[in-house]
Amino acid sequence: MKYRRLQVAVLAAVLLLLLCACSARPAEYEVDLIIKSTESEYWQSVYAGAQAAAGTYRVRVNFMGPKEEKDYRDQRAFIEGAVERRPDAVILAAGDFSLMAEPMEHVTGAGIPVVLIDSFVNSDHWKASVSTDNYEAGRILAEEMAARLPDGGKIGVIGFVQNASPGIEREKGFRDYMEKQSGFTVETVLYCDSNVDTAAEQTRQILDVFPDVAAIAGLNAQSATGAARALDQADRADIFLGGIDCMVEEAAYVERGILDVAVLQNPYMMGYYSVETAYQILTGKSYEKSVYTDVTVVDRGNLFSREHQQLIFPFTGPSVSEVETVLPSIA
Amino acid sequence: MRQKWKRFRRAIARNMKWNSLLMVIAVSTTVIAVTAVLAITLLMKNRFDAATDETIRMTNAQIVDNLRQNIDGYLSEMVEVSDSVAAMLQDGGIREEAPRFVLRRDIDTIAVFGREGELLLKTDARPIKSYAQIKEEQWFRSVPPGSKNYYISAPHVQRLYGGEYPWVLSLSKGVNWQEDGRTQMGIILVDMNFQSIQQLCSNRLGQGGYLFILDENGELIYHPNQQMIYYGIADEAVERAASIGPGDTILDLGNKRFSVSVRGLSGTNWRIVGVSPLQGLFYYGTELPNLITMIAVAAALIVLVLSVVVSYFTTNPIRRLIRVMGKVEDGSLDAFSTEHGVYEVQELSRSFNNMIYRIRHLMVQVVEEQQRLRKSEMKTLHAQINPHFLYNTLDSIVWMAESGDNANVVKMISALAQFFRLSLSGGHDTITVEEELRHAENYLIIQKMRYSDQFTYTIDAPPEIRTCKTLKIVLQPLVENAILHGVSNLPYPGEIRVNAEVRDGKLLFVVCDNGFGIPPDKLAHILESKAKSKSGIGVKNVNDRIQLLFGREYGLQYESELDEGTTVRVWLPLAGEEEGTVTRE
Repeated sequence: MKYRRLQVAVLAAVLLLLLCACSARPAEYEVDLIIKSTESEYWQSVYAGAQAAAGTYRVRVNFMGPKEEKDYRDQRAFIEGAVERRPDAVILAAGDFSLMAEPMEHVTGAGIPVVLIDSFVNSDHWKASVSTDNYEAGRILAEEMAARLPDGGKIGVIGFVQNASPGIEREKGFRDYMEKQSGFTVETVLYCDSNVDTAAEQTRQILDVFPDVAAIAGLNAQSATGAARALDQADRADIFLGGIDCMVEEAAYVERGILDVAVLQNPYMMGYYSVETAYQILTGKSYEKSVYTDVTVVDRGNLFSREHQQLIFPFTGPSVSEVETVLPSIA
Repeated sequence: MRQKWKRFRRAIARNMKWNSLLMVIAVSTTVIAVTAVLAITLLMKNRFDAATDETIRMTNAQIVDNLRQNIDGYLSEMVEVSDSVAAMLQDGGIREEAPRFVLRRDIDTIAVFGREGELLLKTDARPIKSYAQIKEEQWFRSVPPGSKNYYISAPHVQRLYGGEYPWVLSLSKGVNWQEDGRTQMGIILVDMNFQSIQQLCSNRLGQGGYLFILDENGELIYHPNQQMIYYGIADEAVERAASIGPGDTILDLGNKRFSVSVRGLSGTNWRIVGVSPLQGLFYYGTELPNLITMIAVAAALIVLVLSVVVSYFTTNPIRRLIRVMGKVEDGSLDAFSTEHGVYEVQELSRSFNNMIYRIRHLMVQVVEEQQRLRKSEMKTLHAQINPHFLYNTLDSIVWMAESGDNANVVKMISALAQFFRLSLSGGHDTITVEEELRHAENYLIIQKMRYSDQFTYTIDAPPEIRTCKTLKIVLQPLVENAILHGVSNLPYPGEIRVNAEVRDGKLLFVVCDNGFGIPPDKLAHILESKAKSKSGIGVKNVNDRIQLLFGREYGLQYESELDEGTTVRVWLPLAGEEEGTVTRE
């Protein structure tokens, strides 16, 4: 009996020692990056930035989310799933301001820190946020438009999802600036649900209802693209179009003078900082509660400059992590 | 087995003192072994790190070389393509042969533009967008139409087509040719898809390694995290690499070391830079370091267990010896230690056994000696009373009294009285030399009268030793012997001399006669002889008493020459008056 006990004690001591030996190594962290749409260029850029930071900080990033932004209800399942998967941290771009609050609180309730990226939720349980200062983005768009429209006029605004925090703030920033300018009136705000076709349709409605509209503002990539399409089809390049974010399709409209000014967010840096912040939280280092990434103003003149071309036309090659380490021979 | 294990555990438990031999051996061997394991591990790690660093450096250099060759290949192919386009233009047959270039998938566009930027020729059917401003393009402006120079652009977004923005490397080249009798001037554009080069560049060099390309001004042409750098998160390697020429170097960036390989391209002034972190053992992830740590820990544990076991078995005989010694301490002289185990312990056991044997032997000897002492004391007691001597003397006195020799009667009786007083001497074993000499003298007085002056005697001793202490009744038996076997019945006057002196720190009595002497055969055994003198007490008893009390260095010494005389020396320890006793404890 005693013999057995001694055996167990010795075995336990050995295991303990081995455990100590193993845990002394720097841990690799696993972070879930739950975004709004896996298909969009914007979120791919976020992922690329996250991967760049992941390489620096020995973090593994799991990229996940609904296929398209309009399926934001599906995001719930991904968030709830984190409770089961138990990653070290979750980086969340909430598809809906109020709908995602509860699932996110389940995650934080399970002791997993959450870093918000791009969009906020109706809860204060998150640890840190990385986003564009959306109010500022809206304000800058308004400022750029006002600077290029000396005569002022009527403005139609196409927002995206009514209840997502970036939309609310951009609209507010835009309105606040415009209302202080003489000669401008924001006639209407329509919500396209981040759908290009809806945005195009709404643009045509604006043209019908307000034939004398001077400018249209698209508050995200889809609304700006839709508006540009509609204006192109209606051959109304004379109407000033400003947008926030830029997709490749929009670049052609910028070149052709249909989309006159675009305020670009920096999804790449957002992805980068979100992983960096998550790493700082996990390792107990000091971190910034709110990180704001800069915006860039692009127009026809600087669209193809060295700095901007990668922001608008990301390399379409395979992402770094998928490449084999052995060099393929060139055929 | 079970029993042994139990004993082992008990021994371990009992020897948990830090100064016990078992602990000392176990702990010190463990410490030494663990230190050795650590030292070896560290040494191995260093060697291993150096080896992996070298491997990384070589791999890094190899990959960069490989990439340089590939990119050079790409660029020279582009040059070849542009050259063959130029050649075909000059041959005038270009318009028919053009479509075959499209077969190459990595070439995006081959086109010839006139000096005003107008499209002259294109190998595919995609229309160039109406609002394209060819004359504004960098690749167009960098080459004067008609010149033979090449220009290779950095990777850029090509904007010839509406809604399509491929990343390309552009090679432009001036060309002139004869057409319709006129010299035409234009620019050939060859666009190569950047994707394949980018794919090569985005290869990671092992863990955490990467490649980037710098132009002649140290500006980035390609970097896997180019956006990061544009937005202010600097890559120190880029800044440092800009200032170093082609070759392999090791750079310290931050707190890490990197192997940096720089290679120049032959077609352009670009430099390819490969950066790989030198992290030694950690290059292989955490598995290998973990394994090594595990092995080291396991080795230390095994050594600990083994050293405890080994020291248990080596110290086992010592513990057995300790047990046996404990028994001896408790008084059991029968204890005996078996002589096996390590050599030193064997020796120790053997010596211990010998010692025990000697002690036992000595104890027997002591008992024997005590018995002999008792016996000789009985004899001495007998000598003190000496009845025969008393009867004989009394007979002599009666004779003298009958013949009316009153003076001699008085002399003899007073001598006899003194003799017995000194013999008994109040029960003390020791008396002064003075008293011992007087005792002998009284005896001589009596005997001289009884032997009717057949001999003379002298007694002599320096006054300073007369107060010394001596064993009593030592001289009388010798004097008795000298009279009986020496000077009685001599044809000439006999002479007996008794002296006392100090020699070599010992007290020496010498009894000397000029009698018959002792025959050598008898002399040799005189101190062993069982024979007793007629008066009952032999010289052997005197010798035995002295030696039993004081040891073998004291005792009697005989010297005798036939018809010359006999000399007996009595050696006794010298003891002053003040010491009071000369007996051995």
